[in-house]
Parts: sequence; structure tokens; C-alpha cells
Amino acid sequence: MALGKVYVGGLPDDATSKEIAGESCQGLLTGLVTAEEERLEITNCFATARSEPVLDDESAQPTNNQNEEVKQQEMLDMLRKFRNMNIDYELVGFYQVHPFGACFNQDLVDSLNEYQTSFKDGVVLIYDPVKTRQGQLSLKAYRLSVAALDLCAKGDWSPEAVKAVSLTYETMFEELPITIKNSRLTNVMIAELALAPGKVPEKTAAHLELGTKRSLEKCVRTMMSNIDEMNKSIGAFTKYTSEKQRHDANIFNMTQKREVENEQRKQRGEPPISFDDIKRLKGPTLQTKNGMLESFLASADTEALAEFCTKVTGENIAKLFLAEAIAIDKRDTKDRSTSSVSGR
Amino acid sequence: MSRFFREGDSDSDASTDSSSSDDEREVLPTTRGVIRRDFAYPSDDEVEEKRVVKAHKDRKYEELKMLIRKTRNARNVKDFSALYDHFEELCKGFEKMKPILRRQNLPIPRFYVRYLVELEDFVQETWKDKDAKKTLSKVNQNGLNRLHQRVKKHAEGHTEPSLDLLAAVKEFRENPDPVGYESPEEEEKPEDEAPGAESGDEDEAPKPKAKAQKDVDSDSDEWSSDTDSTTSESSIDLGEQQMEELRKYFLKKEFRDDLPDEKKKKKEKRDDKQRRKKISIVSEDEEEEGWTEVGKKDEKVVLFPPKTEITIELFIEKFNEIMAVRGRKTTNRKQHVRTLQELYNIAEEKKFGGGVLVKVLFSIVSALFELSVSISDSMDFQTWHKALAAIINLTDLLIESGVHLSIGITEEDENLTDPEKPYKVNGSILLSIQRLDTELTKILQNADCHSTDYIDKLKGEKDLCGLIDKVHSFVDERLDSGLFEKAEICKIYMLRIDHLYYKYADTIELPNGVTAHALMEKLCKQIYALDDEKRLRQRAMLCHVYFLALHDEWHRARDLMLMSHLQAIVDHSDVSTQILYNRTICQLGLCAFRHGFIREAHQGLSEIQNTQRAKELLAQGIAMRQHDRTVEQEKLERSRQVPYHMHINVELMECVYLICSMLLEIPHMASHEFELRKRLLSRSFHYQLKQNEKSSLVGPPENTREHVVAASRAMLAGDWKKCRDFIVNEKMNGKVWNLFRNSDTVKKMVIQRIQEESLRTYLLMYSTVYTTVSLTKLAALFELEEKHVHSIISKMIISEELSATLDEPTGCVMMHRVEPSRLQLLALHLTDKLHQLAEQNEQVIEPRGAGGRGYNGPGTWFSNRGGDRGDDKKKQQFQGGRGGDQRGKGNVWGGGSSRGGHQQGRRGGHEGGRPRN
Repeated sequence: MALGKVYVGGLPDDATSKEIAGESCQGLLTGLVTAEEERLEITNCFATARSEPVLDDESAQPTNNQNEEVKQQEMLDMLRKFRNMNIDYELVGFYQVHPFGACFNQDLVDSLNEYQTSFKDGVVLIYDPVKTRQGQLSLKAYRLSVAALDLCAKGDWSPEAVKAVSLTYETMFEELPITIKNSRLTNVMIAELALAPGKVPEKTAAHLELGTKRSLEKCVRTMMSNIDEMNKSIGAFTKYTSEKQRHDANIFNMTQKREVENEQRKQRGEPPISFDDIKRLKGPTLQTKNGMLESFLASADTEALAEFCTKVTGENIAKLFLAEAIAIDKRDTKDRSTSSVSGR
Repeated sequence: MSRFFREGDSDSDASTDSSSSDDEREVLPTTRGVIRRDFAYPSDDEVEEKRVVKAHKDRKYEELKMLIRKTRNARNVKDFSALYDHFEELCKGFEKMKPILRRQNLPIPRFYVRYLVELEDFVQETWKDKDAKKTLSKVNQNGLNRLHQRVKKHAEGHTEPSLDLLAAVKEFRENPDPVGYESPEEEEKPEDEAPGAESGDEDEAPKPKAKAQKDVDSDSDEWSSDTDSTTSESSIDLGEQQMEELRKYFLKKEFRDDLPDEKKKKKEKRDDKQRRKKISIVSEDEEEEGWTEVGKKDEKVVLFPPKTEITIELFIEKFNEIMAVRGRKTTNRKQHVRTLQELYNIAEEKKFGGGVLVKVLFSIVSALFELSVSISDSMDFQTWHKALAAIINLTDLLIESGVHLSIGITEEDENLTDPEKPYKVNGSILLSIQRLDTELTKILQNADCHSTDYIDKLKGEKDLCGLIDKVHSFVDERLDSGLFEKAEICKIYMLRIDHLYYKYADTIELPNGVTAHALMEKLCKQIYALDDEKRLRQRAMLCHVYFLALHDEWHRARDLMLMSHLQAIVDHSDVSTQILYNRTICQLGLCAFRHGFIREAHQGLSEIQNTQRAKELLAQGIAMRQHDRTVEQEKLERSRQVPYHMHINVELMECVYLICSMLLEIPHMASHEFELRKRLLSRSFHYQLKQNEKSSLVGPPENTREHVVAASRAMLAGDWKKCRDFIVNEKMNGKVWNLFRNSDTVKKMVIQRIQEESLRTYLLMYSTVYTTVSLTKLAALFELEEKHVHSIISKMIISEELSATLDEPTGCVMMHRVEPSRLQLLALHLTDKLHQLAEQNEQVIEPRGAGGRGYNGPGTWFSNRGGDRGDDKKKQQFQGGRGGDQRGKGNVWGGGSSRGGHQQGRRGGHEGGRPRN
């Protein structure tokens, strides 16, 4: 059962402060599911401790486990405290901070899979600090589609399986619409802020600033790495298809031969040879880590990035036009004033 | 002159002659005591000859006897067809023997006469026996019929006084030989050999002797018959051998008695002969005739019986007879030519009129051409000269007499005899000239081009030109007469052009008032108008372009070339036209270079030079690497080679090409130094540059190539003086510049171009160093006029090669440094990657190599893809395509085996253009 909306009650307040460090901070969401209104309400959240770097060493294995245990402990502790404070303590998902909203990676899929299997309506809330800094709140809620979840459960991302459920990078994730509902107190504060003239920043032309050069660069850079990834996977896929074709043709030939042979054997009254050995022949495998998943993630990422780019550049162009218009307007008025002066 | 010498003159008998003389040496010391056993016959069991014999005669006798034995066998089994064949052979053998007999004053050998009689009897018998005849098979019946006639004829055919076969047969019938008889053979005295040449009219010579001979014959016959009759009873007991000896004993005795008498007669005869010889020498007008006769049959020795009046009818009859044997294997070609020559002389002497003369002369020409057996072998130069002389003669004759010589006239329509009407002869002088031309080409191809021999042979070309000139004017005067077919006329024009187009105007000798240019133009226009098939028109046009290019008329040459659209159609024309096209393109390129049109020159030359096989494409050398050619292909290729005197200097061409490449490529390299993908204008130039870079130690340049490469390096560093010194120096003068006619202007042009291009390179390379440069300084640096520098920089600014502005008041160039921002660079990289991605994506949809699946969609969807690259792509495709075609063309010459290569070349060209499929 899918919920129509995600109601976000409270903002993960600490997120804004932490994303500045440029690290992905994450936390858990709590809330409640209201079945009759078909919505998921997120009412609170808390950040998990910054994950310790996972060490690959064999000797580090115990410490890793220890870290994990500590985390788990912390989380349970927090939830217990929520309960004590009579806050919604039902876990409904997690949130992550990703610049440009390009959140799609293996970890996300794994975590989502985990959450969604344990809690059916689990979502991930993606928060884009870059946009927020530019003055636009960017929140997105995603969950894995049913088909994708199935595949995750099976762990089979082979092209055939993906094709069978007709999954594409677009249908892999479901984006849920978000409605933000502030608490009354917040609403009051916002209204007060709007009314108080001294508290509004003086610089009126802030929205005309471009200020996107760095972020765009970063965006293009990540896009490039994604595209590299995609190139790689496409190459692998091409290789796979050609091999597959050859394999199929091979199988077909062999079966035909076997059929003819069996026909002859039948006439001679001998038992036919089974097709098992042919069936047992292994087809080629896609030479990537996770089958089609990687390319899907890369595509989805790229899409998000491209969306960001187009949006930003579109806005920038509009801003440039605006600025030009204003500049012309200003000059004109100046001219007029000077001329009027001279006229006097 | 002895007999041997005489025979030595005719080639055919040379070998047998030497062997026969060997025989003689062996035989001579053996005296009478030696018994020579020959083979046994069924009837004449054993032959014993106890004399010193003339080996030649002996052998002939043996041959005849052998044949007789064969016929006897055939007769016994009644195989008439075989019998007939043997008889024919026998007749021939007898024919051959006749001169010997005559020379040695021998009668017809007895055994031969006896055999004839026997055969005649046998044939008559069978002929009359109707029943037997019916039982014979068809083949045998046929043989019999023929034999019947032949036997009669044979005897009647030889009625010469000395060797009257008929008489001999008659005589024999009167007193036939008994069984076991062996024919008498006279002992010969050495004096019998007359020490003088025997001329054709020897026929009458032995006349006075004939009677005596006959007497002897009859005497001996009498004697032998006598002995036979006396010993007939005892002959059974006596061995035949003994009998023979006995007979000989009698014979010799008789002979000896006769001897003095005989001698006297012989002496008389000899005197007579010598007298005759003198007369004959006088009568012989050609030495040739003297020795042509020996090896030949009688009919040929004397063309006409000496005393007959040679009428024109008789003459033509004879001529046709001679012409009938033309081309047969048995005919001696040289002989044939001589005979025709003789006929011509007779015709001239008797004044038979132009028709006959032309006919005979034309036949002589064709006979001369036929002297060499195979087409691929070249003619002997002497023979060629003879043929040339004959054709010149023929032309003169045609001009004088007004005989109609045309291939439009059939053999039946010929009019040789009737002086009332115009003479008409079948044949074409134009085709003969063409043949002559091709033969000369072959001779020149086979000659060593660096020897004086080649020059000597080349002189023939001049004579040929004269002839072509003459015939050309001859044809021009008779254009309306309908004698010549259009194709023929075109051919003479084309020949004229072929001998004109590669020569400089001032070396061509022409009647005053006509310039070579006007002539060339006229000829070509006539061909354009007349030629129905496109080939000659194409060739004429190419020759015209070549000629114009050679004479520095660049614009006209180029326009004509472009108007012809030959670039598009030349791939479909024949190989020799393609060669001509390649030559023309090269010449055009050289012409463009002389005029300073570097880009055009580069374009023209790169088609040939970029392939690495310039020599092969110009047919100036044979590629060594194609080992899989058959002999025929190689021969064919050899036959296409251009004679040395028409060669285009390949080294000069290469040097010009490299200089052009340098002038174009170095600024290009400088401006695109940081570009990711390098585009090459000329591959071979880059190859040379790279080779030079690779070498660890760069010494002073040796050959022209190294000179240009060194110059390029200097230019890239902006050092124009060094560059100039590399290009124009003593060494290069000798190898390159002096080969141009107007070398000084060309050199001046090249130096100026070097200055300009160095300036450009300098600005492109070092613009980052400057913020402003004064024009005056640049002008001083490159020794160019300030105005010129100004124009060059303006051009560069307009074409966006250089981002700068010119500041007029201060006379400075102000550089603008515009480098792409990081973001822009990133975006550029991204587009590159995206493009790669798109390509890979297409491959997913349409895997490489599966073109046959009928899915050609994406190509059309993405036709406008990558617009930024479109232009260069097109250029690449154009060049690559041309290159591919060129390569392909070259391979076509190689023949069928290199077809694959051709296709590959083509595909390579395509791939250069379009990366997919």
C-alpha cells in the first residue's frame, strides 16, 4: 500500500549545520502512518552519530562490529527517550543529505531495502544543502518501487530479470509528493518575521545574485564521473549482448542438432538424449558488480544532476535578463533625471 | 661460293648443313673397301654401297627408301589413306632432293622410278577392280581416289629436261628392273661441284649434258639387264650380294670407259655456266634476291617464269597467291616480307599504277608488323625503322597518287587494275600508324632508359611525329571524302595530341604561324566534336589540361579540369586513362605550386603522394610488394609503363608536396597545439616529422626530404631565415629548383610564402608572450612590408585564428587572452564524454558488424549529430575518400588478385569519414 503524501512535521534541525562540513549526515525519521488518510506523517527526527570510517582490515573487524553495536544501541536509546517524552517513536525512514539531490547510490538502495522490508512504508528523505543555501528548500522523498524491491530481495539485477519486470531507472524509485506542515508556533514566528521590517535583510537584490559558479562546476564534475560510469557499464552491456547473441545462436544450433539426432534415435528405437547438458551451458554474465543496478543508479544520479543544472542555468539566464532590464531601467531614469535637471 | 656457304645463308638449313658436313668428314676417308650396310627392304634385301658417297645425297636416298618401305607396307594391307599420306611425303622428299640431283647431274634414282611404276600399276589395278573398290572403307576409298589423281599428276608435273620423270617412267616400263635390282649411282668427281653460285635460271644449264646422262643410263640399264639375264639361273644360288657386286663391277668398268668423254662435256658445261653466271649477276638487281632463293621452293625463287610477260592480272594472281600463305606456320615471315618487297619492285618497274603499289606496300607494312610473333614482345628497332620507312613511303604514295585507301572499302570493291576509275584499296594507314606508335612505345619501354641506346631509339619518335604530322594534314585535306571513319580521324588527332601534350611549346617544331597552344586547342576541339565514345574525349581533355598546366596556364587548366568533372568519372574509366589522369593531376599540382597556389598544389599532389605509391600510380615503376601477381598481370602492368622521356620527376613532386605541406601544416599545428584531437592535413608529412623527432641525433639534412623536414622545424620555431636556408640552397637548387623552368620566380615565391607562414606561426605560437606587438617590429623581424604584415594579421583576426585587435594610431597588435573558464572547459569535456556515450549507446542498438540485420535507423536519426564536428568531418571524409579511391585505383592496375586490397582501401576511406559501420 502506497501512501499518497508524506507530511513532514519537523525539520531535521541539525542537518543544516552539519552539511556544511561537506559530509553526508544522516538520521532517522519518526512519525506515524494514518491509514484512513493514506499518508505518512513524519513528525520528528534525530541524527545518528557520525559513522566511523569502516576499516577494511581483517583486524579491524571487531572494532567495526563494535561501532555498529554502539550505533544500534544509541538508536534504541533515542527511541526509548522519545517514547518517554511521548513523541512519536515509530521509525518511518531515514534522511540523508546530498548536494544537488543526487542521492542515488548503492548504500541508499541497501538501506532502503532494509527499511522497507522491516517497515513497509519506509521512505528516504533527501535534503539538498546546496539549494537550501541559495534560498530554496529542497526536500525529496523516495522509496523503492515494488518491482525494485523484489529484485533487491532476490539480489538479481541481471538484464533478463530487469527486463522481465520492465524496470528502468525512472521507475526504480518512487518519488512521493511532500507537503510541509509547520507547527503553529513556527507559523507565528514566520508571520512575525514577515511583519518586522528591521529583521528582513536589507540587501534586496540577493535573489539576483548568481553565485552558482562553484556549485555548477561541482555538479558537472560529478555528472562526468557518472557518465564515465555509464560508459563503462554500457560497454559491458554491449559486450554482454554480443556474447549473449552468440551464446543463443550456439544453443539454438545445438538443440536443433540434438533434435535431429533424437529423431533418428527414435526411429532406431533408442532412447533420446536429454537436452540437459545443453541447458546446463552457462550464458554470459554482465561484467559489472551489480548487474544493471549500477547503470540505473548512475542514470538516476545523472538525471538529478542534469535537472539541477537546467534549473540553475535557466534561473541564471532569467536573472541575467532581469538584471539587464533593471540596469537599463536605472540608466533611463538617470538620464531622465539629468535631462530634467538640464531642462531646468 | 661452295654449296655449304650457300646453304649457310638460309637459316632453316643451317643445322642440317653442319651435321651433313660432319658426316662428310667422317665418310671421306673411308674408301671403297668399307661396306656400308643400310637397312633391308622387303624386296631389295640388302644394300651395299662400296663407294665414297656424297653424304647429303645419301641421306636423301635413305629417306626416300624409308618412305618407300612404308608405302609398301601400306600397300600390302591396302590402307589407301596411309598410302596416300606416305606418297605425299615421298613427293615432298623427292622435291627436296631435286636440287641436289640437279646440281650433281644425277638422274632420277632408279629405285624411285621403279617404285612409282609399281605404285601406278597397283593403283590402276585397284582402280579397275570395281568390286575391291566397293569393299574399301570410305576413308580408304577417298585415299584411293586422291592417290589415283596424284600419282598421275606427279609424273606429269616433272617434265623438266634433266629430270623428266614421265620419260623415266616410260623408259622403265619398257625395260623394267628385275627383282633384286639396286639402282646405279654414279660415282662423282669432285670437279662436279661447280665453284659458283647457281642462279635461278639454272634450269637450262644441264641441257647439253642431259643426253649423255641418258646414254649412260640406258647403257647401264642394258648392261645390268644383260647380266641379269645371263645370271638369272644362277641367281638363286648366288647370294644377292655377290650378284650386286658383279653388277657393279660391270658398271664401273663401263663408267670408266665413259669418263674422259664425260669430263670433256663437263668442262664445256662449266664454261657455259660461268658465262651464264655473269649474265645472271647482271640481271639480279638485288642482292637479297640472290640468297632468298636457296632455301625456298622453286615457285618462290622465281616469282614469275623468266620469259613470261608480266601482266597486271598475272601479277595480282601471284600477289594473292603469296598473300594466301600469310600467317601460316610454315611460312617464313622474313621470306614473306622479301617476296613482297620483290613484288613491289616489279610493280614499280612495270608501272602497274598506284592501286597495286599501295596494296603491295600496305601488305609489306602489315607483314613487317607480323615479324614479331607475340604482341607483348617489342619489335626489333631495325624492323620498326623499316616499317616506318614503308609507311612514310605509303603516305607519300597516297598523297601523290590519290589512291583511296580506306577500311570502308571491302576486298570485293577494291579497284587495283582499272586506271580509269579511282583506285580503291582496303586498309587503313591510320591504324598502321597507330600500331607503329604502340610498337615504338614498347621499344622504348624495353630499352634501358639511361643508355645512349634509348636516345637513339627516341630519335625514332621524332620521325614518327613527322609522319603523324604529314598524315594529319593529309587526312585534314580529305576530311569530306568519306574515306576515313570518324574513329580513325579521332585516332590520328589523338596520336598527334599524344605526342604533343608532354612537350614544351618551344621544343615542338611546327610550321610557322601555328603555335603549339593553338594546335593543341584545335586538335582537342576536333576530338570533342568528333568522338562518339567518351574515352578519347576524356583523354584529349586530360592531355589538354596537362599541356596547359605544363605551360603555366594555371587558371585555364584548372577550369578545364573542373569543367570536365573527370574527378567523378575517372574511377570508371580504363586504366591507361586513370594513369593519364594521375599524371595530369600531378602536373596540375606542380603548376599550382609554381603560381603560388599552395593549397591547390597540396590538394592535387596529395592524392598521389599520400598513397606512398606515387611511382606505381604514375606508371613510372612497378610495385615490388605485390608478389602474388601472375606473369600475365605483371606483363600487362609492364606494358602500361610510361616511357622514360615522359616521366614526371617523382622526387621533385615529393619535394614540392612536402614544401606545400610544410607551408600549410606548420601554422595549423601551431594554432591547434592544445587541441585534444589532432587533425592532419597530410599524413606522410607528419610521418616524416615524427620520424625526425624520433631520431636521437639529428644530423645535417641529406636528401630533399630531410631538408624540408629541417625547414619545418625551423619554421615551427619561428626562424624563417633558417627555414629559407634549408629550402633554398645549393643542394636543393640542383635537385629541385633548377628543374623548374622559371626557377627564380618560383624560388622567390617560395621564400615569400615562407616569410608569411613563419609570421603566422610565430604569432600563433608566441601570442601568449605578448600583450602588444608593434607592426613595425614584426615587419622588421620577418623582412616583410608593414602593409603586408598588416594584411596577414587582419586576415588571421577575421578568421578567428588570432584573438587580437589592431590599434591603428600606435601601429600595434593588441593580444586578447581569452582562455576558456574552468566551467567551460569542464562542459567541453562533458560534451566529449556525452558524445562517446551516445556512440556507445548506438552500438547497443545496432551492434557493429551486424549491418545485414536491416536496421539502419539510428544513422538517419542522428544525421545532424555533433554539428560542431560536422565541418571537419566532411573534410576528412572528402580526403579520406579520395585517398581510398586512389589506393583502390592503384590496385586495379595490379589486377584481379589485389581486388581485396581495393575494397579495403575503399572501406578505409569510408571509415575515415564515418566512424560507424
